[in-house]
Amino acid sequence: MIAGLVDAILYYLGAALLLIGGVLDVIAAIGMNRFRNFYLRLHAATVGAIGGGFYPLLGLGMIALTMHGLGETRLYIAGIAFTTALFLALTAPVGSHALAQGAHRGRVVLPEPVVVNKLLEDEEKQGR
Amino acid sequence: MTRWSDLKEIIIATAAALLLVALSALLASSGLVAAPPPSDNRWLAEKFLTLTYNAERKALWAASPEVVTSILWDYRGIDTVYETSVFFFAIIGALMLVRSYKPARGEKIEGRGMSVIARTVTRITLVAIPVVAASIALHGHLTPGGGFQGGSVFAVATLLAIVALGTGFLVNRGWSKGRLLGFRTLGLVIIVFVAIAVPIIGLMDGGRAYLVQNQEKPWSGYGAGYIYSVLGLDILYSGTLLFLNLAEFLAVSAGLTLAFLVMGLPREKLYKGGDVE
Repeated sequence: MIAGLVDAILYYLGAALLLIGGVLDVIAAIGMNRFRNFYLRLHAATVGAIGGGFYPLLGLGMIALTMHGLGETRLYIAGIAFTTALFLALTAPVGSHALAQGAHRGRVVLPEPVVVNKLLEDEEKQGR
Repeated sequence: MTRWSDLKEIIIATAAALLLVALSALLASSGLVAAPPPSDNRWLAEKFLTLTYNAERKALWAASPEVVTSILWDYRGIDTVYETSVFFFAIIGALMLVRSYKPARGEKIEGRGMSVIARTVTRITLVAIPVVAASIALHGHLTPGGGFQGGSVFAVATLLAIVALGTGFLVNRGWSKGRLLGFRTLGLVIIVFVAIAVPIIGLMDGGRAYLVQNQEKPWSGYGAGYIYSVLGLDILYSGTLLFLNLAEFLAVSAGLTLAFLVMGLPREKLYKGGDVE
């Protein structure tokens, strides 16, 4: 009874996460298309990486846990999905951060419109 | 931009998405995309699939459930040894470009690397990547993977360290040109040793065995065995495959790391050596 309840909760939570992931991916795609400059688009890309990658992987792991027909394999699938989700959550923001930092430090793109740019002031003070 | 053009774009995007879904449904239902696998394999694939791990027909088996590794290190083992030596010479060629740079003993290299955020996460992933690499290499005879793949994954870790933490991170911890070359050569020496071990045993026994021979053949009864029993557990090590995979892992990870390290040397080092003008 309890096991069935846990399974049901895991399954529907997983399905909901998968659905959220799909929706967020669409939103990220629209953002990539519609945002004006590099830094804003980076925001959309991160929505795609975390919302469209992290959440569906979590959901996939949860759904896999309920698939008892797979035997022990479901544990492997869930474990791999959760581990991948963890590392995605760790590395995706760093990727966008490195891109933004590289673009800013190399003066490839400057944020625009901009009210105040403390990073630029700091970098010019340090003479980079 | 007016409201109307926004609406138009949304309608176009939705229509395109719906068209994509309809087309993929059509393709999938007509069996064009998800074509069922053919009921019969081609004769060569069938040979490999039925022979590599067939304990009932040990005449041509490789004692490994992983068909690709069996082909690479058993059926066409000499070819792979040759490939490994080609890789060795490719790295030597890369080193030739910076041959005049001689690192002094105990020399430190300054390197800023990237920001604190990137450095912190790189330090975390630096632990995880070698673990994955080792598991790929050690399970090369059981699951897809092997020495080259594991070594390439390992080299990703060192590349990350070089980019995010600076070349000095590795160099100042003793990852010198000489040591990496040593590990690489050690890997190659192990490969050569394993390749000639079985023939030498055969010669000493007065019989005959092939180079890179793995399992016993009916006409050449020398092999490296395939089961190691310890503490009541039977561990499948697939004869020479495990050792060759490990040696290849050593050679490839050290070789690629060396190439990345040389590429990541600061420019002034290369100026001093006279390689760059």
